[in-house]
Amino acid sequence: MTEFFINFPCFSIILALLASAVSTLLGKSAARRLTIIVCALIFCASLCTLYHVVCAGESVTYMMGHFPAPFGNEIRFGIFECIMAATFSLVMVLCVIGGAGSVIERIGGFRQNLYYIMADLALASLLALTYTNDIFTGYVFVEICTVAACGLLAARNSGKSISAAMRYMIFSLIGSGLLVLGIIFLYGITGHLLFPQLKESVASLWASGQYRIPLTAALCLLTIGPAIKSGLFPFHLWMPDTYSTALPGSAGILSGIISKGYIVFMMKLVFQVFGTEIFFESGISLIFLVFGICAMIFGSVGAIRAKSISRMNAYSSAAQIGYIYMGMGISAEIGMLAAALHIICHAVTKSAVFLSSGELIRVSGGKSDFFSLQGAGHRAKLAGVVFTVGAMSMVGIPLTMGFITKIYFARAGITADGMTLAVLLALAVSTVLNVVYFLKTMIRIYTPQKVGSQEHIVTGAPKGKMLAFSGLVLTVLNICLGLHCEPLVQLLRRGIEMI
Amino acid sequence: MPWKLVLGVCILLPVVMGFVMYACKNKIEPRINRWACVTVFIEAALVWWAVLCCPGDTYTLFSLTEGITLVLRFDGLGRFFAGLIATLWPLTTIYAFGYMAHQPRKGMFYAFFVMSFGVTAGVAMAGNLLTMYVFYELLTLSTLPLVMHEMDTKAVRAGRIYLVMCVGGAAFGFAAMVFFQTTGCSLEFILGGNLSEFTAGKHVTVFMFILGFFGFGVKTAVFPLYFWLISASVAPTPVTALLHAVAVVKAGAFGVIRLIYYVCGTQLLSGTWGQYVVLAAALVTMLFGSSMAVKETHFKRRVAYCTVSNLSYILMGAAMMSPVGMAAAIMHILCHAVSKILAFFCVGAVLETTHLQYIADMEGMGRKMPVTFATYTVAALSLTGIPPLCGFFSKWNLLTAMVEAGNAAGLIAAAVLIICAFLSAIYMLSVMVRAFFMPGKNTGAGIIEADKRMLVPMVIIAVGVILIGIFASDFMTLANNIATGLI
Repeated sequence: MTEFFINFPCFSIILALLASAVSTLLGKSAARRLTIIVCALIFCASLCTLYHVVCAGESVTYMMGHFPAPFGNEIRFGIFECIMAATFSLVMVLCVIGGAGSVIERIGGFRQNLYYIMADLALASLLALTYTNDIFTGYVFVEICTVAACGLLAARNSGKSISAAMRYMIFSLIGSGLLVLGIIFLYGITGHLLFPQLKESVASLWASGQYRIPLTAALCLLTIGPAIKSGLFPFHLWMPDTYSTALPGSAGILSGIISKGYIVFMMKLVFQVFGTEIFFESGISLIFLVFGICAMIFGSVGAIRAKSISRMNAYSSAAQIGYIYMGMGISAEIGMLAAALHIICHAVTKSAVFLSSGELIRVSGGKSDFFSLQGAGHRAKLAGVVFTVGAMSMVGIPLTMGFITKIYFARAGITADGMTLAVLLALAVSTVLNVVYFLKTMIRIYTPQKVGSQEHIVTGAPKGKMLAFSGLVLTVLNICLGLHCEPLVQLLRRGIEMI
Repeated sequence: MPWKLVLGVCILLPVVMGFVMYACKNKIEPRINRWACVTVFIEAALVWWAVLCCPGDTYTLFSLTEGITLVLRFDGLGRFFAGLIATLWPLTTIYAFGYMAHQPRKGMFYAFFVMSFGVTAGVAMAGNLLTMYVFYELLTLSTLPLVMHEMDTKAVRAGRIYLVMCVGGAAFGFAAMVFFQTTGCSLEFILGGNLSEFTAGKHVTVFMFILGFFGFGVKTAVFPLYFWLISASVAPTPVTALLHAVAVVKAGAFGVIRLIYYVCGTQLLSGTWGQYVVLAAALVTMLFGSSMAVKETHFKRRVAYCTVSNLSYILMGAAMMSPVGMAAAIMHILCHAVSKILAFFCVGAVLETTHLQYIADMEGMGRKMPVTFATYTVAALSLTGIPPLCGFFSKWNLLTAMVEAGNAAGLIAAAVLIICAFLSAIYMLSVMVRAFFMPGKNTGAGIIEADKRMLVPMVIIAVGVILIGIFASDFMTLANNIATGLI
């Protein structure tokens, strides 16, 4: 019976694309409802596919329209892909629901459905990046994803947000440029675009020693391109401006899942095209490890120096991306497992943090500096709780999911030859820095305002219920995974073996 | 008897009640004393019941992920610590009723005060290092609102320092913990330790042990990570007395003893450079704390510096890495806990009744607040180490342990201990002399004896200090039995 479920990934991509097309014709609230329904459906579909793949115990290669390669297109999915797709669609639907209030408030009437078109497109491209078995399709959707992300960022019609979107576009296009160069190199050497054939020829070429330099160059380009796009240190400089001017929902989507989409695509390239032996032999892994650690430290230092909560969250995203790259740089098994776990952890946590800080800013008269935020946790009680739990998870306090991923990073670090102490100390120092800025903000939002400072006037219609729903779901999910993460870890472990 | 359930309730009851009290703090504010009182006494009874009757079996709660399991087990050391907090917590609650009578935000105060009781009980009952680490972090978080109770600039600053140092410090402990687990050293608490060989290289392992020592030692205010304790003295006195003289800091000492004697074991570690680093840190802290206490003119901060110094007596005993050292450390945990909580209670009684903060203001106060300063004298004499009181016996035991070690390190430690004893005589007794034997500047009629609800716990504890001194040999047998694994 579950045989039918293997069609769902393909349907999901098409459904999301269709939804974006239909949204152009719909009114603003109908577009929002459609997006929410479609994302929720895709989430359920991903779970169904996951169920099928877990039962079948092997990954599925699916030919779209049953045409073979040059005409048709292939997707391939195992446990890892399905879990990521489920995470992406879940966080997307929660960000759309939670961010709806600010979209209504900040974006002028007819442009609202454009926002939802971009959200649908972003989800379609994320799903395609996750499921694809074809490097060129991957590239196409990387570009669609970039455009959609820019749309989400520029939706708020202000000069600042447009210039921030431009900056994001420039960084992102540099990344895409490197990616396409890498694809050209690889195609030039091997003549293939599908992953399995690519892997075969890359492996034989690497073994024979032919084209060693172009192959290494292609590997570099194909890994560093997505790394730039996801904002790995030192290419994280677009983040603060971009996230601080974006709407809370957009920032959640961008930081929580879009930047992760590129990482998932790159993980697929590493596993399915180059193979982990070549990845670790070539020394690229070491670059990831070193720059990941740098990102953890410098991202956090930036966050400590930040003057507003949204810039702090942005720098913190840069630091958290560093964790993921560090994990990928350590080893193919436990390191990648830690990285994959952290992708989920950060998606769940950071979107909650962005949504709740949006609400905290709203009740502080729209000001995001720390002084105005004083006492915001008392003005918006639920947002305060959501932010607090999110902050604890980012620090890695036990009973939240952040603690679990920290354990896996530490375990991975211990297996890293010669880098054990570096990784462990980086983790510990990074935790200290995280405490400095996250828990400082936590104290700040619960500190009563000084007597005599002006009362904040809350403007605009509160969309409390929708935000509360998203925040609660994300928080509960975070704590549940923090209390019992074993099933997810085992699934991911099988998934990584299966990629 | 489903002991797993009882232990679970011991931990969860105050936590849940704390949340309930916090959620309806506005509604129950007038009756908050009753709520806090009932919860604390029920919890204390439960904990004592578990201490006396619970078998030493291992109860697995649930697993967070592969290899990360929360386990509860009551062994001798855990029972000792749980008994200690379950005795002092109710007394402090009564004291707090008097102290907090005129303070704002009582609802929040009692909510977190009750909550941290459960978390501390969790630290005592933890069956492996991981479980202890989890409660350790939660203890920091649940006591944070208590430290910041005043919510003014100073208190918020103290709260930040407290958080950064305790959670940040624990991060290093975390690294050490995962390292030990991954390199094949089980985290179960077994007297004698689990480290049978240096699988990952001797120096790396010793380095990780030191990271763990300082990570868990942050809570015992080991030099140079001591200043959170001093700045946290802005908290209301019941908090300073109970948490920063007993629960939190002793949980730190407890954690260090667990790490040295129950996880790593002394077999491999004693004689390595790790032991000397740890011992040196303890000795430096003792000297530093004592000299700062002599210099300090603020009454409460002086007592806080005295805590810094005394906590390292415990660490020094633990760092000797011998059963005698451990027994001496355990004995000092008990003696310091009762003496120091009494000293802080007296400081708080003076502070709340007269709002006088500095030692110079204490002149002549002994005649106006006779009960307060009589009990202070008991505490001061005990902390100095005057024979019939309990402080003498714990110092005696520590000295014996140092000398029995027989090496240079032990003799140096003994010398430092004696110097510190002299210094403590200066800084503790000078206040007493000012209070009783100097003519008072404050001849105003406004000063009266403290609230009865503060005096009663003080007198009870003062009697306890004397009784523990009288029956010191019984307590020493108890400590020895714990250290040798008989209990």
